[in-house]
Amino acid sequence: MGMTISEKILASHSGREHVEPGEIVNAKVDLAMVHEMLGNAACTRAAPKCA
Amino acid sequence: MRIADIYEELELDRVWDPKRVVALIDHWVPAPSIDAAIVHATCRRFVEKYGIENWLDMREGICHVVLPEKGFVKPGDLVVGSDSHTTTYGALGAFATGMGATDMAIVLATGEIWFKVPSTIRFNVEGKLQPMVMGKDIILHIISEIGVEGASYKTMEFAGGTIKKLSMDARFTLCNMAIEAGGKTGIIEPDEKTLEWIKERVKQPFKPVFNDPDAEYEEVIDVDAAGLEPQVAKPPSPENSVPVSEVEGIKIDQAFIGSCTNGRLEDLRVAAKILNGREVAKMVRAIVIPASKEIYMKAMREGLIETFLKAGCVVCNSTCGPCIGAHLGLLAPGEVCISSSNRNFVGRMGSKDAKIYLASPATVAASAVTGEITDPRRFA
Repeated sequence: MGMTISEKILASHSGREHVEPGEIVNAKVDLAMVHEMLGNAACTRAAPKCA
Repeated sequence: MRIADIYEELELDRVWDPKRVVALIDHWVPAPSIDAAIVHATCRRFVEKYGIENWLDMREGICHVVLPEKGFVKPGDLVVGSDSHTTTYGALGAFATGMGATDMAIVLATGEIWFKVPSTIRFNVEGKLQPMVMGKDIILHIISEIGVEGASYKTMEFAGGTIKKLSMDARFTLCNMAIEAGGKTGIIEPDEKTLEWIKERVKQPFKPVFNDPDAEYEEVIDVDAAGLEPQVAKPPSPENSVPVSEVEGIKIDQAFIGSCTNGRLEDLRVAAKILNGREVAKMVRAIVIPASKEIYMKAMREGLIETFLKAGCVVCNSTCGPCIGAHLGLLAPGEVCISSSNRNFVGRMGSKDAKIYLASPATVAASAVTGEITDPRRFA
């Protein structure tokens, strides 16, 4: 049975020939993007942990 | 907890591949508060400590516009980001999705993450769009049809003759808002337009991925684009879209054109076309935020920024700003905003007693001129 684009990308990044919806796979990512979520929430004026 | 906190708590001590991480700040830039400044300082500290190669600070603009522009995303890629609108990159034929701080910390440390393979819903969009009807109107309409949980943990694939004709800017808008229907990602199969757009941007080799002819879809939903009116999503949910004719005449206090959803060049061009030689209504404030430096500079060269300023808009640096109620235009209780952004939840752009209507940049610009929600086809 054929795969959609999204199934194909998850298959190729988890070393699988074929995947089906609902399966759990462990995938290697090509790229990770981080914005302000990267910082320390614990370092604020209220909790100057890292000052 | 943010990623750096989780790194400390889990005693993580490495980034799996500093070349494969893009870090930037875009939500609150330049820092409007001491707390934001501290978060930014801790981002920079993390970047230095782990030697992250692609650190853009606040120089380039909003992440979901910048990453494709800078060629970081290729067709066929698997991309994860610390932001729900990471789905945007699917317009290039990538699988891209947002994750929380804990999952992102694990990705940064290992380069791996688990997924449940989503099933795919295919939206076949056919018919010629009317003038002043944009990609935003298509996606608002789809979300109103299926609801905010209509595609929960599913891939939303946009296909059909209308999508083929859409600009890349409009395609990004569609995939950007897949998350507003609960989609795990939004995807558009790459075509000549995709390859042309990335030609000057992507430096590394890549292999586009296409659907198999016998691929199985959970559902195929037909969407008629020819009969589509400009859409407006009433507060407090993106699923509350109605044709603009049903809400015309509602008075507005603020108009916002920008965000990762609709701050691209095509969006600024259509807004400028409407605002050219006209003026923002006396009791309305209009805010325009080009979504990236590249877009800002192109808009400058085309004279769009001058058009906005002459019309009475303020033009701010590239940032999420008012879309998330961070800065540059919060709403007072009782105020009404029409916005080209993606979420109209209670309190999203300031006071919980303010109301937000979502629409295309054309509808926002038309409404800014008249001071009330207005069908942009009046200005076509």
